[in-house]
Amino acid sequence: MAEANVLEVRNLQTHFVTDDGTLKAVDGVSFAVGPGETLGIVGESGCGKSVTSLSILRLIPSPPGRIVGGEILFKGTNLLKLSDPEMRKIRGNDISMIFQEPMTSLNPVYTCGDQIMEAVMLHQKVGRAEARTRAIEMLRLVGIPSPEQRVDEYPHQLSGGMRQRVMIAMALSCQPEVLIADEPTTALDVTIQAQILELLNRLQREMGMAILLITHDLGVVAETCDRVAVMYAGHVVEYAGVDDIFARPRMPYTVGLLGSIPKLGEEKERLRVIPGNVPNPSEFPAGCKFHPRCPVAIDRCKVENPPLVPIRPGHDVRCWRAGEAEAGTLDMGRAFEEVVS
Amino acid sequence: MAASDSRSPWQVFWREFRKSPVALAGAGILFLLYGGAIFADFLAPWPMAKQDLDFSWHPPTPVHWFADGKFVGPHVLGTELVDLGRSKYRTLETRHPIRFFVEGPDTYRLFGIVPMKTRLFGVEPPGHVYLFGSDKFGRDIWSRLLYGSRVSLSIGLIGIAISFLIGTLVGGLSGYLGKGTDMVVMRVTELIMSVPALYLILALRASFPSNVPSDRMYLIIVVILAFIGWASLARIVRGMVLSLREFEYVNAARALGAGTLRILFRHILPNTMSFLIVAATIAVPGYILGEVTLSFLGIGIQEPQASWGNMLTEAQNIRFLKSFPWMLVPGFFIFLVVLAYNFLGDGLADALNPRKVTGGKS
Repeated sequence: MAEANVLEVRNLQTHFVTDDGTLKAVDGVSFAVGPGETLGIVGESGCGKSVTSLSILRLIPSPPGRIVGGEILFKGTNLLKLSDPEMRKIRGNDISMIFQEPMTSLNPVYTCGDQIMEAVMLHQKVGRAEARTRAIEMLRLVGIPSPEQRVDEYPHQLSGGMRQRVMIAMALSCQPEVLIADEPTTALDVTIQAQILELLNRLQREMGMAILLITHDLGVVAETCDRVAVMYAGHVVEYAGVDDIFARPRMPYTVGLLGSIPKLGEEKERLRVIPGNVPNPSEFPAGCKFHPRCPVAIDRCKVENPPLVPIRPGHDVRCWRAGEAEAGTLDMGRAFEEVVS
Repeated sequence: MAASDSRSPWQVFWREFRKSPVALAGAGILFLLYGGAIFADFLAPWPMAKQDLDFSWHPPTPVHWFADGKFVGPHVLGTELVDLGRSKYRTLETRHPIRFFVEGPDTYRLFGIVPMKTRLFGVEPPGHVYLFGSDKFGRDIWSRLLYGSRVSLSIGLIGIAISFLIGTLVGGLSGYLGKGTDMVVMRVTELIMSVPALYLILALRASFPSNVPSDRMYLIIVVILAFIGWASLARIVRGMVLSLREFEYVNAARALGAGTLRILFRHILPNTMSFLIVAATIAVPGYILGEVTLSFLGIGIQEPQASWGNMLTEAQNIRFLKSFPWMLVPGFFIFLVVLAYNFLGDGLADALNPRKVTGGKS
């Protein structure tokens, strides 16, 4: 089982030490991705999804951040045990990352070609001429028209969608086995979003890499992911196949998130929301961290944090009342509607 | 999605720079001054140290073009000393034509390689042409200005180059590594910057022997000025690195597996260059004035080697200054070069402004 997963995160704990105390931004997160598979990590802002992705590449600024526990296994090797030079060989070569902001992710003083070539030459013993050929190839692969010209253009000469394509070309230039995409489409408009997601899907089919897609957009998840980990306040609260998540959510938070998506053709004055906000990491409540916002919370939730347990094969939930929902005796969706109205 | 802005960064820069007449004037003045320094041998009618004690404190000789209402070409009138004690000269009726591309009094090497004797102009003996007058030893001030500019103008460039190197390196590492490194480096720069520059210059100067050959002296001055100058540049760089290292492309470079030094030198520092070029340009006059100060006080470049600073030494004496006001000519040139650098710096700052360089495209 472990062999099949190209990347496996086990009980990852990333804490930030600040003057206000230790913030447990990521507190015991586990998931796994197989080759050619897409795992979505979903959650509101501040739930720890970006910290998780940066932890995998060990890019957490330290201090104040520190990975205090857990394992990150890349093809069986624990990345947390590697030396810095060994880690640098992994970054970009085996595990790559693309970022949210295509506007600032490219260095303004170099041409697009230079930046793709740098990635190639960092990891592979190739000369400039060959690296340049590779850069042009990559630009063509990510669907940039007339790549022979674009390779010599500066980032400011490209549109946002184009820049994100260049970022993807950079990240994929060494054929990594895992691609971490941290909200790759958030800064783009909707038509470009669809193009970029389609591009990622196509490249995944062609190159067979695993994708870790960090997003808060459930529409994106439905379209691209095989499995989904829903995060809340530093925990994975529900971890299941994409069909299960959308058809049979068993954690009130997931139910609330899905309920807040407006449905086509539905007449609505206001969007449905989950009341309250993600708590500040320094003020996480005791017990289940979602209980202050949860419409079905019981007394047990206030004192005891539920474990992440399978409710069905391949569907893990962190909720004391998931069993009732599974058995059909509790309708979490209705509970949310009643709270709002 | 088509690129509307296909100009190279240099074209964008030139388009912006051209818009400012003041900056162009500054660049033009500097071009002429540095040209004068390079071609000093050719432009100066006399070698640097050629003395003529019969003509000390000679006033500037006007160049005449007409004789008795008729055009006869450029010439000067002969002069004769009438009051030795007060160096008063009387103009004679004799005319001495100025010739161009004449054979000079000695052989020099153009660019340090090509041996040449030709000089731009000279006057037929026994005439004397002193465009800006002569000094105590009857040396031509125009010639000495040109030779002196080699020292005074190059010290600014070499000094800033050294400061730039140290400042960028130290400031960059300080800002990027942070923590203890940053703490130590910043306290050192504060120490250097908190001592008044002139005292620091004098104290450092005192730590070197007083009688050294002029080429060694040149080096000493450069070292002293660079030692003082790197601190402020390092602080500028450090501040910029602090903000630049938070940019997403730095994270992106790290995610691609680039190491610390690579990120600093390839991704962060190049982004500081446009600001640094401006800062360096505006800092150059400080180095020029530093040399002038040392030489003016008699502890910099020594006679007979000329520099703009030591040419002003004699202007310290108010009596000389009153009788021979042309001794202040080097001061005017110092003023000119400082002004030109500031104009140029302002122009560069406008032209390299990143908001303009992006061509207004978001």
